[in-house]
Amino acid sequence: MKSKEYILSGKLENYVFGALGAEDRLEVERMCALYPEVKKEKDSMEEALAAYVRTLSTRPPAEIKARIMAAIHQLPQEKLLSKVPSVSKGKTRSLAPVLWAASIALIFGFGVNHYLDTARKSEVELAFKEEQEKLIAQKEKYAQAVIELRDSLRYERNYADFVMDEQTNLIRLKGTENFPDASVKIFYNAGQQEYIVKSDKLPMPSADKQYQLWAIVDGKPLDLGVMDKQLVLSDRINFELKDQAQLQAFAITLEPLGGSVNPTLEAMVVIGEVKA
Amino acid sequence: MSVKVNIENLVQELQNGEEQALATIYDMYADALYGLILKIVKDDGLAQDILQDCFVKIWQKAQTYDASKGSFFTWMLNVCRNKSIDELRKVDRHRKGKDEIGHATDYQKQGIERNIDTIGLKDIVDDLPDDQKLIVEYLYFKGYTQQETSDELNIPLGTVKSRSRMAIKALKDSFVIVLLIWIQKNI
Repeated sequence: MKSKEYILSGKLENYVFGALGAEDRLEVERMCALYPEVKKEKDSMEEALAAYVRTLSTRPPAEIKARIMAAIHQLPQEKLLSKVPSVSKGKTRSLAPVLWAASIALIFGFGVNHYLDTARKSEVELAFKEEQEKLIAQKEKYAQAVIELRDSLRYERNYADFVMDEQTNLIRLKGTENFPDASVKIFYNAGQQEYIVKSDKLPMPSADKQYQLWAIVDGKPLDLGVMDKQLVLSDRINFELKDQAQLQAFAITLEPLGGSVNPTLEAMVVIGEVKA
Repeated sequence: MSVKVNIENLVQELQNGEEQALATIYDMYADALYGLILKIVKDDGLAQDILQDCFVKIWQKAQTYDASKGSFFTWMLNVCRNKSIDELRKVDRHRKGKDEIGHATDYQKQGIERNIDTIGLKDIVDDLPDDQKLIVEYLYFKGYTQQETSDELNIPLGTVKSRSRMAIKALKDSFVIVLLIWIQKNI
């Protein structure tokens, strides 16, 4: 329940756009750690934005890479204390060939520094490495793209499968007397215990109001959370009920910002009966 | 799958201080990161300096990257975005007073930048309605808060919120097409 409301709260979008302050950012990270479905939603938003940013790709001038590699060669990395053991292990490994080189250099009477320098700059080695890097990078790019593509296709297909599933019921929520034009659809699947909200026509609420979705279960209203002001199509939302047969209707009311504990009956905007 | 392991390995190598890993990461991501920086600061020379600073930062701060919080690419994007916006603000402070009014409309006139043209993705990004594009521009590329965006564009805060939601949704929808074209262009 809490995670679903959180996803609809708009905080995740802000997080992904980098428009949150430090405190809110931590809150989002906490929620992601607590609720896998919140994390999943956040990740998919980040992926979409990242894909968009990729479309802006521009090749920087070739010399930048060499400048960067030269700059970092002089710079130590900042270490985190907890990771020290694995780091020192890595260092030992990468130092071994250098030590070898150094001792060989001594044997041949070259200065150690001079030898290290020439060894590093060996042209053949460099050319080979660059070629190898390029191939690896290309392979990774390709495979990464395929995976991303597959995942997003799976996501879209999921949506379509859900709506076309035999167990999915279309519930039309029709406008009440005060809101005769309003209309909303809910696709509800009792088997998968999920629903999707599609708002066909809902007037924009005033700044201090917000729509709130309710299920009527065994004659009692059950709070399903407040809706985003301009929600057009929701994601698949989990909705578990002990006894599906007790679900009688879905309704939307217009409530003060943040929603109410109980629905305000005169503020009912749309309602639709669930037929067995 | 193997690719995932490879990227994880690469990050691991980077965190272990292997310079080769940074070189590989540069080859894989420099274009995307440079594109983002350029989009924010709109100045080649400045963007190149920022790109260099960011890679140095990626190197130095590699150990602060936490895989449980998100992808490595997104982490790098954040490093570059934050640095670019900082630099942009420094530049803007110097220029202040010159064009206080009307830079919202300036952007609208300006439309999509040349980078996209070169890749041929203009049409898809153009699919994003103008009002949503403007929200992405202000929140993500200019680094405004929602409140600042609302003040600047003179639209209600609630509208900024709903549009940023719709913009993300639209980006998700165009994701598949963007990737298809991106594969064609890059492989």
